[in-house]
Amino acid sequence: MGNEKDFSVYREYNKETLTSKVVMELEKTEEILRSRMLTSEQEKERLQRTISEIAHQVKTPLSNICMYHDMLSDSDISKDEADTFRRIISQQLEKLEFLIDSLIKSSRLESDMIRLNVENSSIFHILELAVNDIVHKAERKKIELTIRCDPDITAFCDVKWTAEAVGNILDNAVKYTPEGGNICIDACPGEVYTEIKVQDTGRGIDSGHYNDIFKRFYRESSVSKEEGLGLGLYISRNIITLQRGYIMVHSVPGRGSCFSVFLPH
Amino acid sequence: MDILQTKNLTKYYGEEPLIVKALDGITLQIEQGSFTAIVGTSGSGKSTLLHMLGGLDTPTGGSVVVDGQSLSGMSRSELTIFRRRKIGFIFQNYNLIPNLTIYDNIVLPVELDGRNVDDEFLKKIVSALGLEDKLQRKPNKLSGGQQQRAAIARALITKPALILADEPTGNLDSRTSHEVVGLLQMTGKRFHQTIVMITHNDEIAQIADRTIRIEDGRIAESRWQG
Repeated sequence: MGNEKDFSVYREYNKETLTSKVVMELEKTEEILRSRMLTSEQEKERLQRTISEIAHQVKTPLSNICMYHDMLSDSDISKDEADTFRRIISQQLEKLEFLIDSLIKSSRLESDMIRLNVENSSIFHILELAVNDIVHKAERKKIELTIRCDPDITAFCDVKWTAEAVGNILDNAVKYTPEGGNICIDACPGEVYTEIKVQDTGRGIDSGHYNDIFKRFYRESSVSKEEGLGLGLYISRNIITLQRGYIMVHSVPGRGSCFSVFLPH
Repeated sequence: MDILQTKNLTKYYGEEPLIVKALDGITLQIEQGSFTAIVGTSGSGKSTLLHMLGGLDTPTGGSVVVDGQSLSGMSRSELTIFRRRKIGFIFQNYNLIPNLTIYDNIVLPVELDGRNVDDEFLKKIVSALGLEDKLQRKPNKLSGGQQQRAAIARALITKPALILADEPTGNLDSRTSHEVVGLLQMTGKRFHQTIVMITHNDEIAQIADRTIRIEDGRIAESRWQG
């Protein structure tokens, strides 16, 4: 019986009648409500996952600190050993501090606690701010930095946060480009978006991992000796997406990577 | 929730022993609100698959269910109405009607269905796609990228259950391709649309939530991203 009834309702769907149109509109409303409910459930799941990821990230440095702290209170250790332990503890504390800072940033971004001051901004100015933070690191590695940006180029975005997003990309570029390499930054306006391109001569990314690198706490296994938490690009993508832009990657492993940030203008 | 399901979908041409299997048993689910890229080389069957999903072609076997309705039980006229209301199409060559303005092109599917245009919604779409100052122009006065943006607006206006995009960047240069696919993704998220896009370009596919690779009429790989 049930099936027959369903079938007759279904027959009414695709007719030019008023009932059919009303049913369709009602259905759309139902869909919207259902999808909202689903979204909130998914949010909850995501939150739980996030908490467990964070706990995991905090635990390692914390147990290191505990361990070395205990060892310090042992009266048998030499002064040299004590110094080493203290140095390790302070390194781990720095790591924790950096982790917490990054987490605060990303959580504020996610919970919309930050009001992004989106306005027509000069890309040149943003690049200036972003490059300032990495220029010394680049010099130390003898990496040549080239910036090509017309001073008139603009995009609708928040200057400070966009500089942070681009800065994170640049920071990675410096980190994964060997000594004597090149990093080239280009800005060019298109029909809808302004593109900021960061091209390096680093180790590159396998195309299968293009999307992984933006995941929170993701680190390629082959780069585990480099310092980092796997939050930089995650934060970058959040900042850019919040401003209705997006990031694309193109890379040739062994030759270099190119990150393109697109922001509406 | 799955908005689209196919079960063991096949499309064969000819007869044994000269049979050509364009689709050879495709079973997939597409989640509501997701952006899926179907990638494959030419001849892999990806276009045939998209035509089946949109009810533009009939399969040899298997089923397609969109938004709870099976396409196989429908008559031609039912299919036409179903497509108009439930599916938005975006084609490689834009398929805008040359002697209509951009505005008339965008609202055409709503007007064909005898419904009123939701002006507020239209305004939102048009501004998201940067078409405000192009509405009174004819398609041939617009660049390829602009025409494709108008086609995206036309696909969105009916608030369809599913948007099917067949090589939407096939006629565009690489820079414009990145823009169009970025806009498609952004508007999809903003207006909670489910999008299935066909492309042979891996670089374009990275913007999707999920990539399905088709080889010889079968699913070779399916992966979620981000």
